[in-house]
Amino acid sequence: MNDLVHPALVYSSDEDFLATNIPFLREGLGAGERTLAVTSRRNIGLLTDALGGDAAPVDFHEARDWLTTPWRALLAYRRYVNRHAGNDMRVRVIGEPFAPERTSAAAIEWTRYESMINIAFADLPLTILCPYDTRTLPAAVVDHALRTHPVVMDEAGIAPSPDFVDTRAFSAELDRIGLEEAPSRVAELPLNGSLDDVRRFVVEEARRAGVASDVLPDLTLAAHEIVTNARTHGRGRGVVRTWTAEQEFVCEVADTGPGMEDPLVGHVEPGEARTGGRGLWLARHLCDLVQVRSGPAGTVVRLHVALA
Amino acid sequence: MPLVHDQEFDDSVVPGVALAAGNFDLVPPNGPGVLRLGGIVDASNVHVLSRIVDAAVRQGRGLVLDLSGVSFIDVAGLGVLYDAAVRLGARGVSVRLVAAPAPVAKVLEILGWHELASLEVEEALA
Repeated sequence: MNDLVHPALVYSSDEDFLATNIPFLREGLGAGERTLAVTSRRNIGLLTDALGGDAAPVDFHEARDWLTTPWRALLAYRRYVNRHAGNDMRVRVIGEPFAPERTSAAAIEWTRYESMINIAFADLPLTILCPYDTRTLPAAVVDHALRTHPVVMDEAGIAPSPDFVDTRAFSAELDRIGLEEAPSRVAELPLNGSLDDVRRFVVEEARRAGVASDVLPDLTLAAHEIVTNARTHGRGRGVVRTWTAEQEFVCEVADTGPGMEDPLVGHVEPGEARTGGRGLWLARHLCDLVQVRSGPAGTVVRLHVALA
Repeated sequence: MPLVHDQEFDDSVVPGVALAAGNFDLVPPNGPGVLRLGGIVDASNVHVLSRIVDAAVRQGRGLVLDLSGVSFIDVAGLGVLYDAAVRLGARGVSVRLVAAPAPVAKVLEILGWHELASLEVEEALA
């Protein structure tokens, strides 16, 4: 029972959308499954109209509220399933991505997220159908859907996706896209001082850049946890650099350690054991975007938060 | 800041670490059993908090910590409180965190630790 089913649906009309999603929801409702639809306001309207009186037990959320960052979305889905699954009862979700104007860094992390679902939810009794609207999404996003979903679904049923790429391989492929060039002027602090120095440096630079005061504690803790990791695993050498770019403040922690053993660390919710990955996982929830590149020459973590 | 200890705690543990406490202080202002944790808790002093909490856990007593004066606590520090709550929970008592600053409450929520029945979190009024 505890196995994930994660199909993509590529559609290009309201009729196509309903032809797959309505039977999908009705099947779940008929089986007594808890059902959730995270999609656009418009598609919520289509679904509720088509379901009529049967729409009542379905939970609806607007994608723009639910999908704020990839990691918050993963956590929200996991908590939803944990709350509502049980007694051999699966949870059924429509999770429709949307693509507002995003930085290229954010777009990459959202693509990674689609694939990460395969690993993060592998043990959940969850069926999550991801519809992709070819009318509104960039072609590249739709192409990625076929590589990040093991199966595809349409009104004829479910079938393996011939383009599917294993999540680790796909994530590694995304990592080969380099990080954006940092600007020539950055503030810089070597990691050989105290943690107190690091926190003070990050707070002062972020405040000067215009980061909202209520975001400062979150950013400070995120930076602290990443620096703690860098000092533990990074052979003691490293640097914190900060700058502003495109309406955001960036805090980068770079070390020269041997790199992370598991590149998926901190994507998936850590278990009970308070071991590796918790700091990085937490940072991903506290910031608007986190980028990681890690290899034998060292690890670079970039924390992004919006400017006020 | 000096570290003042609750007399009910094991004297052999707490005074011995007072000098090493560094930049956080722990005082009992609100009557017996309520400890006020203030300042900064990070890798430089988390072992001190750990020993104090361990003493309480060994005695099997519930722990009430007033966090209103905490300016920073990292995941390792919160983990000490979480571990204490797990161990005390097994004996039917709990750890109560009162006046937790909003960022601390938020982190506990993200970690899912607020769902542990024996870890009661009361957020400070804004």
